[in-house]
Amino acid sequence: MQLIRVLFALCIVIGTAHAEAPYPSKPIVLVAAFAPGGVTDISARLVAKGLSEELGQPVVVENRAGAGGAIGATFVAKAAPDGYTLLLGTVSELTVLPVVKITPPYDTMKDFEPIARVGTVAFVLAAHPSVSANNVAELIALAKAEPGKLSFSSFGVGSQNQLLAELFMSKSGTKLLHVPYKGSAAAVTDLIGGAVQLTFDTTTVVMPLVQGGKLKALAVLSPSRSDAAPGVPTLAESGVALETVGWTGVVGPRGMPPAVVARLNAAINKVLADPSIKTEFGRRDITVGQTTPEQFRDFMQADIERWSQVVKASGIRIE
Amino acid sequence: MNRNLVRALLIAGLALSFGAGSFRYSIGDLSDAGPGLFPLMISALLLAVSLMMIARSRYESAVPIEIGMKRISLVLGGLIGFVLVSKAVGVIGGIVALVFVTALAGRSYSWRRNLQVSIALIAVAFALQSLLGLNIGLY
Amino acid sequence: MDVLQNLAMGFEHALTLQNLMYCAIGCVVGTLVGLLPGLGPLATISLLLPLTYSIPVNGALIMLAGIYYGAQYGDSVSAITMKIPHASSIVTCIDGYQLTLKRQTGLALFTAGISSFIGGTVAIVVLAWLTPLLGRVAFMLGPADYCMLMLFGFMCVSVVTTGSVLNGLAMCFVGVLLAQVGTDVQSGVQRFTFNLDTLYDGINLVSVALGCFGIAEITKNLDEGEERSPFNGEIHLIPSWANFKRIMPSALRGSLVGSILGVLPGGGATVAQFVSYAFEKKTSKYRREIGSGAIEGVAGPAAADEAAARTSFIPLMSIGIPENAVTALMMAAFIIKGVQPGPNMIEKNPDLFWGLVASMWIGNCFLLLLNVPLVRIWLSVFKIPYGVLFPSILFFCCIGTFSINNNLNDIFVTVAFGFVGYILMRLSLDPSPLMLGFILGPMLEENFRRAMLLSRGSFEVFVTRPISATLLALVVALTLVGVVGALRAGRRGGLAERHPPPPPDCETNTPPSAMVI
Repeated sequence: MQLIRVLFALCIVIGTAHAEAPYPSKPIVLVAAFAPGGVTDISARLVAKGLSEELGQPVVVENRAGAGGAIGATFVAKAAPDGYTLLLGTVSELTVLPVVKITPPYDTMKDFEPIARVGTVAFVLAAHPSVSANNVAELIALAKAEPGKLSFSSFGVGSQNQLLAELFMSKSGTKLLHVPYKGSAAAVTDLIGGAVQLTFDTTTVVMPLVQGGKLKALAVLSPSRSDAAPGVPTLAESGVALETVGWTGVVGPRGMPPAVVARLNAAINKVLADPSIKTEFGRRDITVGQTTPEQFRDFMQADIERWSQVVKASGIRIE
Repeated sequence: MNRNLVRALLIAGLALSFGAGSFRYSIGDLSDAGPGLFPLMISALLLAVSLMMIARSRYESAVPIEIGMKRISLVLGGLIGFVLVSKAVGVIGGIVALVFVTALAGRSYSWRRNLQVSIALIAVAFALQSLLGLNIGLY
Repeated sequence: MDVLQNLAMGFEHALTLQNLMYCAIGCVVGTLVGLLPGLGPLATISLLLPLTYSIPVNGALIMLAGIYYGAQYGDSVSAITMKIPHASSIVTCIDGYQLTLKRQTGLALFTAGISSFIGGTVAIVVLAWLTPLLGRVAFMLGPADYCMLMLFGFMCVSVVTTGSVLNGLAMCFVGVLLAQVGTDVQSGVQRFTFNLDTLYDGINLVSVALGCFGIAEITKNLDEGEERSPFNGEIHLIPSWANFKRIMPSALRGSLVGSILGVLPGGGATVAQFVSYAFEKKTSKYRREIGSGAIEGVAGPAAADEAAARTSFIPLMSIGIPENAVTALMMAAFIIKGVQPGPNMIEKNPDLFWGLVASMWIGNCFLLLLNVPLVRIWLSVFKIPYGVLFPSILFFCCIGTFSINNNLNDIFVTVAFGFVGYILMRLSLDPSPLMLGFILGPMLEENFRRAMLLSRGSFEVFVTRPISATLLALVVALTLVGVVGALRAGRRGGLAERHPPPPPDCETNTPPSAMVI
């Protein structure tokens, strides 16, 4: 009996102590909606490490890959908006997928709370060395000669690079076969092995392999030539008017308390300003910058509108 | 009831349910598989296996079924109790519920022993929380 | 020779007092956390990763490696002693637990330990000499080849199951179907989820393992009236020379299998333990004992699994692509410390690479040394009367399930599988093939769909690609051998089955002895 009374008292004491715990008082989960090894994953891990030090609580990266990022994104959208479950989102699942899919699994602006943008990265069109085309014009000719023979890998159904490929196909009048993967690493592995021939992926992942001779870069998808890919023409220069920018950012489920959002935003911006972290991102051609939550929200909104127009104009819909 | 037959029928039932369920998703064709194609294929294979099991049970010696529900219900009940009580008052209460209910499935029942085990496990839970950062809602 | 020089340099780096300490801490902590049912190597390493943030890069990586291997070993301990496996110890669980029932727990644990050591050593030799070469192997396999590899893994069902092959196949397919529950990764469609949030991401392996194995086994023991008396016997840890001679060939074979399969991204390491078990069953001198408590059944798969875990670093270190979640964590650790994994990593950071290789081996040694005291402690836990032990194990099952998503609702899934596991046991259906199907099913599906996509729907691709064709031929050959064998056994009258004695509260007229065929 005595023991039970003591236990009871203990419970009450702990209970009151915990009632006023400041944020964060337990580990935070940062979800990356793609498989390990790509830009999302790398960004998540770098941010997580800096945030852990900044906030004093471990920030653990969880990979929940599949369905073009929808699995991870939906998991975070449904999580409790207490700041302990966050998403390191990208263009693919935040601004492309809800726009291009016939039945979107969520509405980005309604289901997520923007916290801070992390970085931007350039895309490049890469091919396996066995493809006998050394620039975009030759590629188009090759594709037209045998429609549907060349295949390209993507991060998943409804992802940014699937849409890019679809746009490429419609603008150049070619037909390629789409092969979805759960993320960059697996897609690139099959590309190196030759199972698929093309991909639109980030310079982060592609350029080291180009330098190692495993792939060749045909064009970059940025407005102007990129330092990361010297000597590679832009897609616009090569005759296909298509350009894009990839970005990543941290979002949380809708309804997070503003104080928590502000704290996270400040912490993330501080992490991104840290010289060593900046260098690590820079080494991977990811340009980081500071944003406020409102700036990030406007940025995402603008991105969604841009993609909506593109999708409407091209009539592409993905199931 | 013949155990061999029952289990073959159970497997067949599973095959049919999954198979029927997979028709709700688009099947597509081989070159463009929909989400329903693979479950359908595997359900078909499972059905084939279950039919062979049914056939085999005909010429095997029949074996009676023995399933005692008492203890498994207590064990599972204890676990469910853990979840429900933990949600209501925290894991400390959950542990107590778990120990007291599942101990009913044991050979002998002793209030004092249950209490001792509960306290030990609560201590372990505390240790896990503080040392590993495993976030257990204790209160 | 160059490699030996490099190894020497590596050992020099690894053998500093600090690094040794990190290695030791990693191994101990990893083992302790891995012991908890439900916390597999990946969960353990995720939990403990923040510990490494403040340590210098070499030390952090060494500690991470120690944690990982420690967790794998702890995993096999809980598989052998409590019949609660995780992904990497399903097969060691089979014979390991049988050995426990035969009161030879110490022998089983030691076998697992020393086989892991042998597997790790062989793999490190492979790693040291063949990394650049083997790195390319990973790219030689396309989706069709992977599909056939998974199918080959399925063939191992016939040897992994304790009942008849037909039952095993059925369980395997059920496992595959259960793995389909959740969101389809390729289309995003929710399959068989009944719109439940818990099932959105699919059923977790931990729930299946804890439910079908752990809870079912506990209930079975309770039904039998806790006849498993507390462990009072002598703890014979060091095996006799005769036993040792049995371990060696199996462990070496397993190491070879594991080293090769571990290089293959995604599926290779998982299949390694099954292939090794099947291999042992076909080639070992004591193959008739395998399945009812033979050391070979533990030695081979334990070595294979450890070897595969080591060689799964090869794609990361030679090309820079992590092939599974654990190597991804290692890659993250590399990146955070400013090291770029990839083709030039070994050249640019030779001390890091060779130091890591050396410390992997040192970690192996540590685990072997830890065996002796830790196992004694663990075995003394079993001196606790079962009435006290089983609620504790149930509690750990709850915590293990809870720690996956910090969600109490997941425990309901484990409860459901506890029920399923109990029914399976009473129906004399072995859940091991179910785990096999559950793990390999999604990879089989992904690769099958992708292969079909690339081949535009034609099955030809399985025959035209050399690796795929070879595996297919093996699969067909094994099936034929299995069918012929089963027919012959059937004609002789009796497919051997083992089933548990009935619970005491059931009415039955037949005495227990008549059940066993």
